[in-house]
Amino acid sequence: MTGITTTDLVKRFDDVTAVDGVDLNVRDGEFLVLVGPSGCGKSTTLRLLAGLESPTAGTVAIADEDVTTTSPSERDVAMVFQNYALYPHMTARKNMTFGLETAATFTDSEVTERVAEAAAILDIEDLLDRTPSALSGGEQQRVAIGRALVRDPEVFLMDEPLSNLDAKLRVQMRAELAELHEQLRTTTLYVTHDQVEAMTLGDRVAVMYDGEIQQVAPPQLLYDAPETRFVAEFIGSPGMNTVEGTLKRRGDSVHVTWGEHSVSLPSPVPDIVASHVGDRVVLGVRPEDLSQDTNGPLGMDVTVTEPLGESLLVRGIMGDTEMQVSLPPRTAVDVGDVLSLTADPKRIHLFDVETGVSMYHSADSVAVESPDQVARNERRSTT
Amino acid sequence: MSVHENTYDSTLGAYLLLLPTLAAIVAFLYYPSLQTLRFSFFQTFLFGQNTRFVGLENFTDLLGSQVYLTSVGLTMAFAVIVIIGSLVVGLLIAFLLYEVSDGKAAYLIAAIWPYALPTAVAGTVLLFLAHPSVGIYTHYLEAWFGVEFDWFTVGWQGFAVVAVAAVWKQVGYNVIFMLAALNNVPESLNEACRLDGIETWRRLVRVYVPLMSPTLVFLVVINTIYAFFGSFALIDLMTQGGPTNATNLMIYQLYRDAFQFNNLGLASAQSVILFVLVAGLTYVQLRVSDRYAQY
Amino acid sequence: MSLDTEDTTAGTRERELLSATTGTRWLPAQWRVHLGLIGSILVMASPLLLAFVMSTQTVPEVYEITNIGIGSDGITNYVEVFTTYGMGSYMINSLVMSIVVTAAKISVSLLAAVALVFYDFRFKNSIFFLILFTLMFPVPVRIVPLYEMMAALGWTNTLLALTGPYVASATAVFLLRQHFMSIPDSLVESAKIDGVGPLRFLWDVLIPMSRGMISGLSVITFIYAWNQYLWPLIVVSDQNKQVVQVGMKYLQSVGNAGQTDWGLIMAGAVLTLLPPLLALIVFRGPLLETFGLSE
Repeated sequence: MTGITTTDLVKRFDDVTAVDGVDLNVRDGEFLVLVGPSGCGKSTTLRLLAGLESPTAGTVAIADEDVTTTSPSERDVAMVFQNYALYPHMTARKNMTFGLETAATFTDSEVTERVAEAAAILDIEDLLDRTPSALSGGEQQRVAIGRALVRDPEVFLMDEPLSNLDAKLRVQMRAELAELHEQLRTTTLYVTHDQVEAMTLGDRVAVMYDGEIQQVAPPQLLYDAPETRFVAEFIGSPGMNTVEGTLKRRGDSVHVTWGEHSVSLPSPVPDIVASHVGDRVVLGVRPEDLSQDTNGPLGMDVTVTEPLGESLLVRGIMGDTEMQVSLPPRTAVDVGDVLSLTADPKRIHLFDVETGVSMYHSADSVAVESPDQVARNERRSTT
Repeated sequence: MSVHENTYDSTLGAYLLLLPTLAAIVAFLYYPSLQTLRFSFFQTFLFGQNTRFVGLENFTDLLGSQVYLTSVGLTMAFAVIVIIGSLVVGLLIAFLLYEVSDGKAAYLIAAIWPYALPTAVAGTVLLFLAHPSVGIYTHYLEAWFGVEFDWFTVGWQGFAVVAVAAVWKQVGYNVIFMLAALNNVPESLNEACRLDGIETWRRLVRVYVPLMSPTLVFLVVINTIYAFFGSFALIDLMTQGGPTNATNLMIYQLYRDAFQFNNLGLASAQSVILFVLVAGLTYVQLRVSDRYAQY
Repeated sequence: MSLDTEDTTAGTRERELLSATTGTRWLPAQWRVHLGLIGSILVMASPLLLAFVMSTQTVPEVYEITNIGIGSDGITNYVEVFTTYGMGSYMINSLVMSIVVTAAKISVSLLAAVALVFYDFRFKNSIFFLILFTLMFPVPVRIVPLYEMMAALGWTNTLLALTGPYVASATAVFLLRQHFMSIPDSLVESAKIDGVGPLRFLWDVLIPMSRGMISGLSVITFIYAWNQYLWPLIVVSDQNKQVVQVGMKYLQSVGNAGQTDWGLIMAGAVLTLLPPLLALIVFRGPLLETFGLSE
């Protein structure tokens, strides 16, 4: 295994456990995004990988070497910080070479060459002799990235590098980062709280919550088959609608009912679903997978309409629960209307009501029970 | 900012960095201070040629000496006058600087220049300008108030002149810190006062001074240390402790005993007493302020 | 202090209130403030202004007490006091001493601050306290043993004695530590990842980022060292090696036929004041900033 591997990584601060048994594997050359809400432990995990914090338990390996007790400068990693961390009194060029001079692994001419290369890739050649105060946010960030590039490390670690940029610039830089990765293919771990960034940048995305990794998967799989309720609600803008209901059998078909509403699952249902008939269960269906249908079984009392331009997001109450539906852009809907909706039968999800673990994605027509998930189920039922 | 702490690992490295400072403070501060304590228990003559252990005799001698007790009393009175004087004058000037709307920069430098004034210069200049026979201040003082001003012979007058010199020199320092503290008062508070129509002096005393209390506490401590220890040059240049010991402050007496009478043991005992006095005062001031100051 | 009053009913009311209270209860009409400032500044500066004027006068003119016009001696006194009376060499001695003390104090304290902020070791907090506690031991508290030490080491009358005891500084360590702690975490971490060593970090990053504070501290230290009186008085007996503050004491006896040449002495006083005063004026920016007073 090359790239980065952590085994049962734990970090405790006094009585707060920030990182709780994280097993992460970033493959060689992969761009893995670690995403989650504030306080979930993603930054701490990154800092543990950098060596800026030492773990309470567990190990870290980079490029096949155990670096758990190695100092940051020996790990051959380069980090890009959220606030760029440029030395205010040095020029961009000096900022980029300062770390190299300390490492003394390259000759002077090599250093100059590398700087020129990196500057060309990042299009900052004209800015090299300016100091940070004479650079815009985006330019500063590029210099910060350039500094990491020039080191030619084993691994790039990026801690929310785009969060300080304004929205438009962020979108542009995202594309540039993606291109950069295409070119260089350096193993990268990228931390962010923005799930859009995660989905667009990552080869794979790791969703983290409360110190634990919920799921690691390529973006589309994360979207189509979230392994936990948290992932389902976190990924997607907006996230998946979830509502607690009861599994009921009516003749041949199985439904989930809540209030006066019900959504029927396509037949045949797998055993795991069948065995839970009569139990409480969490139904999940994305706003994009609901559509207007005059004969539809679901009725929504519209409370808010949000025209996004390319779609119309409608919020409303269905059976005492607030839900959202994404409709084609120019649909005529007003606040106070009652919309008739139907759910796409191939896009229905069920989650365990206590553990939040996924039970069923109708797209597979089989219950999702990977070995991973069995293990999770077991762990969750014993905590 | 505790993340900075883990930047470097080597404890040896840290101690090496601290070595010059630690060596200097042990050699020139702590060791001599401890030595002072030790010396105070001996009677020493001729720079250690003759020493005799006398226990607390030096201290009992001092506490029984009329000259010394007078000196203590004078020093306390001097301290009170100088502390209050320089704080009040400083506060008034700082307040004026705060209130003025134009020319702040120019006024500021004109008001704080005494910070650079060497004590020896302050003493020498006032020695001349207030000189009983040739001083211009003396002349006008006597002309306008019809009093005889001869502080070379009249004790309390000598004391007054030295006190004035001390206040003059210290005001600049106080103004700097007080103005910084005033600048920290939120503008919204000023505006609230305005709308409530609170008069200037009331505003200063009831609003600003309480808000400045941490700085004021700090300044009282600093001014105390200055009053006890910093007036030496003034005395040495202007009055040499006279007239008739009227300006024989503790620090001057100490100097005399140490370097004019070579009574090192006695002088060390005086150092000890000075230290205890000032440390005690500082402690009391900090405790009192704890109760009244608003942080 | 201008209120942002918009064109609203609230704004109008505020403006009315403002004009009603201006000049009466709220803002002492600015002229009063200006008057107060000019008055107090004149009072505080008058001794120096008079000293300067008198320094240009001949002895007879000085003894015409109320003569405050520019004298006919012009700058003769300055030249004389500088050359014949040794002020020139005293000033050089003072300059060397002050510069050495400033350089040493700052360098040593920089190293100590790096250790205290970027390392973690068992006795760190105790050591910091130990350094701060030295503020309680001003020179008079340790003067006797310190002098003994200088005599024993054979350092009397040398630059070593004049500078050694001043090398460590609690204030400098305190302020630099404060400043280093405010360096953004990410910069420190970036250096850590790059493996930048402590001395390199100090030289290439910390010092350039602390320029303001270091300048401020340098000026403060220079003024402090220049103004020292008691210690040089005691530890230097060779007149040629004396510093300018004590040099003023030597000047006091200058004169003939029972008439002290005060003009000359005032020239000496003005000369002694000039370097720290100039330092204060030129570097007031950093100095004030270090004290927390930004312009």
